[in-house]
Amino acid sequence: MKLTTAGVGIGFEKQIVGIVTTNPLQPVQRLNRILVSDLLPEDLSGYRGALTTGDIGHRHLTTPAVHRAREIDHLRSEDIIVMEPTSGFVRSLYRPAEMHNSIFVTERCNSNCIMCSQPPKDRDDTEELTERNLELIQLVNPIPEYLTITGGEPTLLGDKLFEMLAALRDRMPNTAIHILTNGRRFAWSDFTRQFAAIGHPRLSLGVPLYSDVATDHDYVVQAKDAFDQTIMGLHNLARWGQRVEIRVVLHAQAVSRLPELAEFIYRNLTFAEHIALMGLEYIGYTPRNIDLLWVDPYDYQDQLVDAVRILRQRSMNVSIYNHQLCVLRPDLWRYAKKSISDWKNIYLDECTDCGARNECGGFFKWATKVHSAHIHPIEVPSC
Amino acid sequence: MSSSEASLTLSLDSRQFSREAALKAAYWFTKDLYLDFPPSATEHLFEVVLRAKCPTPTLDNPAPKTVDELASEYRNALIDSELRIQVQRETSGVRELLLAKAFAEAGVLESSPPGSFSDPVLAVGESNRTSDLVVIGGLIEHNLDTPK
Amino acid sequence: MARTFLPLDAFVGSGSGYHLLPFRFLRFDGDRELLVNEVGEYLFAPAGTVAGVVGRKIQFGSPLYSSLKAKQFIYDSSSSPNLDLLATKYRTKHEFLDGGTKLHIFVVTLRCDHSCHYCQVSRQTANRNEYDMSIATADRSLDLMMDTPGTDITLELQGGEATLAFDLVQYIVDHAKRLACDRGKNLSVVLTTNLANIADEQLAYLKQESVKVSTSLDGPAFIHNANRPRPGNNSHELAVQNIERCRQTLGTEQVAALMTTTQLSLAHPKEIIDEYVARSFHSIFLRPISPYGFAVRTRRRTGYEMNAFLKFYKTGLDHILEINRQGYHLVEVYTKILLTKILTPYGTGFVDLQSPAGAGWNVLVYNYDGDVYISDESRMLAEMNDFTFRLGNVHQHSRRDLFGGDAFLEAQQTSCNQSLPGCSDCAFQTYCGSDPIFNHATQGDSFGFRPTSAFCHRNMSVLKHLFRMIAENDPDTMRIFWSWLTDRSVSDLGTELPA
Repeated sequence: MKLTTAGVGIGFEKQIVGIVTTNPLQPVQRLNRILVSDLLPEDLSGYRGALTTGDIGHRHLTTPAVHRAREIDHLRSEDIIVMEPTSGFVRSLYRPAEMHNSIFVTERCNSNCIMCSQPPKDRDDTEELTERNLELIQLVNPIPEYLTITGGEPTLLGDKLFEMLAALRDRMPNTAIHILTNGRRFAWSDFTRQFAAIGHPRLSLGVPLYSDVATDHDYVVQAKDAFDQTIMGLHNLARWGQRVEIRVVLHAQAVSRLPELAEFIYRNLTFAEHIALMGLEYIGYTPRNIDLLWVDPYDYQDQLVDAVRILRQRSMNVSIYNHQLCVLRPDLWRYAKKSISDWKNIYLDECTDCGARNECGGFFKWATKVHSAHIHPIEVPSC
Repeated sequence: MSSSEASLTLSLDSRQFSREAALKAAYWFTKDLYLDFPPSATEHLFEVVLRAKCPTPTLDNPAPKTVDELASEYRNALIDSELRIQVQRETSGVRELLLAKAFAEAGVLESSPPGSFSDPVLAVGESNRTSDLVVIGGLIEHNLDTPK
Repeated sequence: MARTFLPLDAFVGSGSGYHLLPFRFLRFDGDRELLVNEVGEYLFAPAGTVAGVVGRKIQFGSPLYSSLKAKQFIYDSSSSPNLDLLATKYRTKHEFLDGGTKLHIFVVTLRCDHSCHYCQVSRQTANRNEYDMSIATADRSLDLMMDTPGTDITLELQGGEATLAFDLVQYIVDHAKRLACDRGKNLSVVLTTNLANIADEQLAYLKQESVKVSTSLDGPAFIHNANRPRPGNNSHELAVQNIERCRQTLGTEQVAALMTTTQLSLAHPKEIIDEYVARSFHSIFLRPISPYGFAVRTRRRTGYEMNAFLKFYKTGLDHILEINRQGYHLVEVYTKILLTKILTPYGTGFVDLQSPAGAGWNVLVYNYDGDVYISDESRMLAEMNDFTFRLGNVHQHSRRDLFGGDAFLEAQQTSCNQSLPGCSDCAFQTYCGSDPIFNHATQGDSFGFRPTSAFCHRNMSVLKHLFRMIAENDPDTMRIFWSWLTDRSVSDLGTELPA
């Protein structure tokens, strides 16, 4: 599923965020709208912007536009997009048809996880992205049930993050906001106090933890003191009444002490609402570091079973994401969630005759390159 | 002095076992033994005299341990006792600090986070703190923030 | 992008050895040692490990090293010792300290219709004036109770037999509720009663005021009636019948039963437990024979008795586990208390196994005559003319007098096992507690002498027994234990947990 296209920007110098319409609208309806069409009509006044695959030639437009775009078929009316002047990039920011939408806040990160799916860029993009996202927040329609805030590392935005959360609180207080963060900056109490003071009524944070051993965690995230900061950050968050979830990506560096990590979470992070055990995604840095990371999920079932048993005995909530049912032990199936977004989701040839296909989340589309050697159809006994 | 059947003298090297460890270990044996710590003439040696309280079987105690058995148990207990003293010596300061932190008011005795949270891009005005590890009279503690 | 990936070595730090954090240990058996840290996290390790830890022989990066570090037994330069984390865990274990006295026991009368062998207290008389709490005493006691700093408090009414003075019970409950409202307290009320004479109007009142009932069930009739004689020798029949009436009026969760153990009980653990199952109870407390009363005089018998109790307990626990395996949820209360301390980050509010001791700090007893005691046991001592732990009298002393007097201070002095000989180095220190009154009653002083202490003997034996089971890690047993600890049914947990 495409999220980006590009063309040539004309007539604007600052980024433009607007709501797509693929059909021309009456003048009174054009506020905030970007008309997206292979052929632009004569009358474009009142639109916030225009996007076309065509070439406008020498036509003089007062409306900001991107023309000669590569493609526009992926865009639907009510999608929210941003048009960038210099590069001519047009990015989809929000798609109401999707259940899971994210607000992307920065490509910067203070960690450098060896399996990062969104490798960081060391350029300060926060000014531009915050301006974009604040406008996005005002345009979102209808109001969604939940939104994820992701990056990079959102806490690097400092005050700008607080500004966005306040805007979300005011515009859509009933929308559950989940922030994906490494949690490190929350080790500084002042920051956490200010964060909590926003008073967003439905906020939770998802924080990764890869080992009960500080050096092993620091190695995975490639940052000294990260483990300590994350633990302190989690405690500060709990102290200020914030809801946290712990996320563990399962790869070779994390699975050998997975049961010990489960016990560590119980003893030290008892307040965690949920623990997400996640399959590895073959994107971002992962291909480059695959030798350090790859372990066939079939081969870590013992540790996974132990860890889940430890957590469930202790009444902690746990889910397993991005794992195929045929490589999971059957008594773990109740914890496996179908979590891969539709547009990233595929099944393999081996899955054709599988009786559990409807219940199984399948694969990420890059799984054709790397997946378990034990994929096989499951026979589900008929009742 | 009682007969050698019910009494035994241990000669201990104080370079190996402290008198403190010997006394502490003795506590658990005062149920079954009388223990004596006579003053020692030499610097490196001290004696512990063990005498069984109940050397012969009685109705209440039909199979009493011999002084030899008890002495062997006492020697084992000495080793553990010495280890405990060592652990205590190394950790009593931290333990006091731990309890002080546990019951202090919020914000009063809390350590700063180690290191910094920054990324390679450092915006002007963004605060970064580093903290140093210093040893204060045997206690390990983080010192106060040194803002950059 | 100038980011490169660093190897594991880059995060290891200067690698100049490790430092110790506070911990205690015990030789568990020939092959193993048990290490326990300051917050009750434990590690089984091969014999000789502690010497290795202290001697700096443990290899960085080995599984043992990693576990010692993760469980905060050691720290090194590669990361922070995170004392704040340890302090938070310590504070969590000691949450029971918060709020001062939470349990207030009012002895409303000494009159009773039973003459239980183990009771030192009851009087067979109809004279209300002599042995009932006066209104003035009740008022004064209630004022003192409401002075307690905490918000959540429990009022427990007992006797003798409290229902024989039911109008007094009503007076106290009515006034307690009104005062609690004025003073911003959350008040729970429990009535301890043998239920033999409970009338319908009394049950209706208890229902109306949401009072919980705690009653006695010593086992099947032959044990219960032998322990608890009354005219007609029908204590068991009345108890069983009236437990049902109580449940129907008040709701099942509002009615609890406790057993008192005697020599006779010790021979019949399974029958007693089966009786609790037959009466649809889901928890049972296997308690040792109380040392207070006549048993105190004969110190030597206490040793024998404790061994007999331990046999009773172990047989009983096995039987209870089997019952749970069959699908009936039955919790052994003392085991659950100890498992909470061992396996979870939490402490418990059980006053008899705390350090600092719960007596005085977390519980107070207001006697019918206005005398105030730090525990029920110290009141029993007073019945035998030992007033060591009497704080004072509600009519003569202010709160400051009561808590600042010698009796209180003497008890506090010996109330922390961290500083008692024998306990200060014990691996089980964080799981155990201290009981100055028990020491005083059985050994002559509040310090006690651990090598012959029945309190120590019992707790050490039970803890070792439980740790043996924890080390064995039998999946069924652990599932049962966790169902107790998390208040879920065994069968639900059975379907949920991966095998």
